[in-house]
Amino acid sequence: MAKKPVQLDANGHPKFGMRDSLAYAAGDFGCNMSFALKGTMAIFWTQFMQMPSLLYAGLLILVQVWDAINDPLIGSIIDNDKRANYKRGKFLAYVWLGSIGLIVGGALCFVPIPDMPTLAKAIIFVAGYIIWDAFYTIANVPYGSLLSLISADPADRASLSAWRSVGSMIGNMVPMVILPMLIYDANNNIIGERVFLIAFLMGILGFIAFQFMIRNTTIRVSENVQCNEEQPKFNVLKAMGNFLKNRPAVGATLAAMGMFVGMQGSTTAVTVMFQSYFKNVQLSGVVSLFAMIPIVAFTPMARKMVVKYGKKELSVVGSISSILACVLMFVLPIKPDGSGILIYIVCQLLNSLGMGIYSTVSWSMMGDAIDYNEWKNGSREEGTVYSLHSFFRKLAQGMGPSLALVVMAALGYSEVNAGNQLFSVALNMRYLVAGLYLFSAVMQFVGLALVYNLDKKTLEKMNSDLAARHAGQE
Amino acid sequence: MKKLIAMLLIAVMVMSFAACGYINKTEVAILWAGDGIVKVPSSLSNAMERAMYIESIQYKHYGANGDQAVQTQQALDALNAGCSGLVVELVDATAAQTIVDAAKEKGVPVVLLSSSVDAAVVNSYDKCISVDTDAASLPKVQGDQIFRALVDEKKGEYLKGIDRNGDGKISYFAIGEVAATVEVINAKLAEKSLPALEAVTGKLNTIIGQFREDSAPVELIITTDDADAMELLMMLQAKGYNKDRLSTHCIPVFTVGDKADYKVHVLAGKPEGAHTDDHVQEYYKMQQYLVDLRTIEESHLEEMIYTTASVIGDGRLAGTVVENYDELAVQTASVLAKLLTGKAVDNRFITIEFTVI
Repeated sequence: MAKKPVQLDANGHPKFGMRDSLAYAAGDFGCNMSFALKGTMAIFWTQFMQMPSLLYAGLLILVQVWDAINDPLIGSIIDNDKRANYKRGKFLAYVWLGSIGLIVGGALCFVPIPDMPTLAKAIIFVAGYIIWDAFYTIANVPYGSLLSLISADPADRASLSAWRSVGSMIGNMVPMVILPMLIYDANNNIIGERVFLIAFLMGILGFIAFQFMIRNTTIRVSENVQCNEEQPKFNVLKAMGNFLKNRPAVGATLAAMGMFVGMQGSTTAVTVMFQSYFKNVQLSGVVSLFAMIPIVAFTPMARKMVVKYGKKELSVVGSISSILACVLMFVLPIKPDGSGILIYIVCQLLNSLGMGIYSTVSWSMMGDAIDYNEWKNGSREEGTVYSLHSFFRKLAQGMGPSLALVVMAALGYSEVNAGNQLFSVALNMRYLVAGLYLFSAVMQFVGLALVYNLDKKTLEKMNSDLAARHAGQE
Repeated sequence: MKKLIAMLLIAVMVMSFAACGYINKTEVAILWAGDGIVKVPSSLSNAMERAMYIESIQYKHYGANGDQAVQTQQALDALNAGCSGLVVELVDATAAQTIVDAAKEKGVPVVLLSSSVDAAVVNSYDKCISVDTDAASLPKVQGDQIFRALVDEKKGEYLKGIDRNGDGKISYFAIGEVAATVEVINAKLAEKSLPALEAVTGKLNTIIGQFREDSAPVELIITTDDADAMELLMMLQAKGYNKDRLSTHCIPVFTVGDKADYKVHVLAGKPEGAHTDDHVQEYYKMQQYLVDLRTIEESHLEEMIYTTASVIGDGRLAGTVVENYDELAVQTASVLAKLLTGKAVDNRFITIEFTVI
C-alpha cells in the first residue's frame, strides 16, 4: 500500500496534526518519569537511609533554594547560546542533553547505601539532587518554550497545552498508583534498593519518551523565543515593591504558596499515615488516584463555568469547599479501618475538587494580574511578575516538605521506626494531614477572597478600559 | 459570604458533637506486667492502643514492673475509682481470682490477657473473659514456616542452597524442645516424598567449630528461645556465616519470640572513652554485632529498642514465631466493647494462634 503523502503547510513544513500533539505530550510524560519519585524522597532518606529527620529538612531547604534559582540561571544559558549549528534546533538539542542526564539523574537521588557516615549521606543527597535538578531543568525549560515554536496558531497552541496536560496526567497517575505497590514490603517498610532500580528504569522510560518527542517535533516558528522573559535591568527591591502593590498578584501568589506548602508538605505525612495508621501503604496511590477524579471531571467544564461565574468567584467557592472538606477530615471518625479509609477518600475528593478549581485558573489569574498592573500603573512588567510568582511558588514547594518534617518530628515521628511508627504517632500524623490540608485551604481562601480583588465585574471593567486604551493608542 | 461562613461553622459544630464520644464514660484500666510504657511499635501495648481507639474505648495504662502485689493494688484502686473495665496481663496467674472477685463485686467486666489462667477463674464471673495465645499451635505454625523455607512446594524439591552437601536430606541442630515442630516438618516432607530431617547432636561449640569455608555440618537450626538464637548467630558470624544479606554462607536459623534486646549486647561491647560516631560504627562492624548494618548514630542507638524482628529477613535470622499481638489486641478490645455496651459474649475463652515474622 502506498504511503500517504505528507501534507505541507504554506511554509513547507508538515501540517500540524495529532503527531505534534502526541509528541508534545510525550515530553511531559518524560519529565514526569523523573519527577514522579520526588514525593518518595523524604521516606527514602529518613526511613531507609536513616538520615535524621531534622537534618533532611535542613538539607531540603538548601536544595530547594537552588531549585528556585536554577530555572532562570539555566534559562539564561540557553538564551545566550547563539550557536546556529544544531541539527534539530537549539531547544530540542537541550532537551536531548537533559534527557541523557535524566537516565541516571533520578536514580542519583536514591543511592541505596545506608551503611555510610551521616556526613557522606548528606553530601550524596545534596550532590545527587543538584545533578538531577540541573538535568531536569535543562530538559524542562526549553521543553516549555517549544510550545510557541511548534506552531504560531492559537488553536494549535491550545491543543498542545491540553495534550501536555494529558502527558503530565499519565506521567503522574500511573506511577502514583503503581509505585506504592512496588517499593514497600509487606510490613509497610520502604525497599531502598528497589527504589533505586525503579528510578533508573523510569529514567530509561523517560529517555525513550523524550526521543519520541524529539523525532516527531517540527519547529515551524523562528527560534528567537527567549526562555526567560525579556526584561530591563532587574532591580530586586523595586521589583519586589511593585509586586507587593499589585493586589491580584499578591493574592494569587498567596493562594499558590498555600496550596504548595500544604499539598507538598503533606506528602510525607500522608505516606506515614498510610504506613502506620491504615497499615496499608500500597493503597495510598489508589486513594490519590481517586482524589484526582473530581478535577479531571471538572476540567472540561472549566471554561464555561469561568465565563458564567468568574475566576475569583469560582476559586473562592473551591477554597471554601476545601476548608469544609478539611474540617470534616478533622472531626469525622476516620478510624484506621475500612470505613475510615472511605471517609478519608470522600473528604479528599471534596478537598481536591476545591484545590483543583484554583489550579485550573491559577496561571490565567496571573495573566489578569499583569493586566491589572497596566490598568493601574500603565506598565505590565510581566517578566517581573511571573518570575517572582514562580520564585514564591518554588519556595513554597521546597519549604512545605521541610516544615512538615520538622512538625512531624515534634509530633513523635522517628525515622528509626521506619514504616511502623507507634500508634500515638500514627494518630498524630492522621491529624497533621488534615491540618496541613486545612492550612492550605485557608491560605487559598485568604489569598483569593480577601486579597485578590479582580471579581467578574471588576475584570470586565478592566478589560474594557484596557481595550479602549489600546484602541486609542493605535 | 458571611451567611455562608456562619452556616459552615454551625455545620462543623454539629458534626463535632456527633463525631466525638467514647462508648465508656470512665476509663478502662489496662494493667501490664511490665512497665506499661508504650515504646515499641511491635509490642502488645502499642497494638492495644490501636485496637482501643478503633472501638472508641477510653483507657489508661498501668505498669506493675513485675510485681504482682503492685498490680493487684492497682486493680483495686482502679475499681474503687470507678473504672469501667479491667484488662489485666497478670504477673502471676495465681493472683487472678482476687482481681476477678473484686471486679465481680463492682460489676465491672475484666479481660485476662495472655495470662494462662485456670478455666475455673474465668467461669467464676460471667463478665470475665480470657484472651490468650494458643500454645498448642506453636509446633504447627513453626513447622509450616520452616517447611516453606526449605521446600519448593510446586516442584516438590528443596530450594536452592538448602541441601548444602547435596546428600538429599537436611541435617538440623536444635536448642530446646522441638520434637513436635520436627514432627510437623517431617510429615510435610513425607507428603513430598522427601526424607525426614536428620538431627545433629553434640556440643554447640564443637559443631560451630566445625563450620568451614566450604561446608557446614548443619543445614538448619531451630531454637525455641530468641535469646538462644542471638547467641548462636553471634557464634556463626564469628565463623563468617549469616553476616548480612549479601553473605553466601547463610544457615537458616528459626526461633520463637521477639523479646531479646540486642542493643544491650551491642552497647556492652562499646569501646571505652571518648570516640566519634564513625569510630563507634567501625567498631560495630569489626565486632560483627547483631545490629542492622545501616549506620546508626550513637544517640539513636540509645533510644532504639532493637529486637529479634529487627534482624530478620536478610540472612542473619530466617524467621521467628511470635504471639499475634495485633489479633490479641483486636479480640480484647472487641470483646470489651461488647461487655461495655451490654451485649452478649458467646465465647469467654478466646485463643489466638501464633503468627510468623
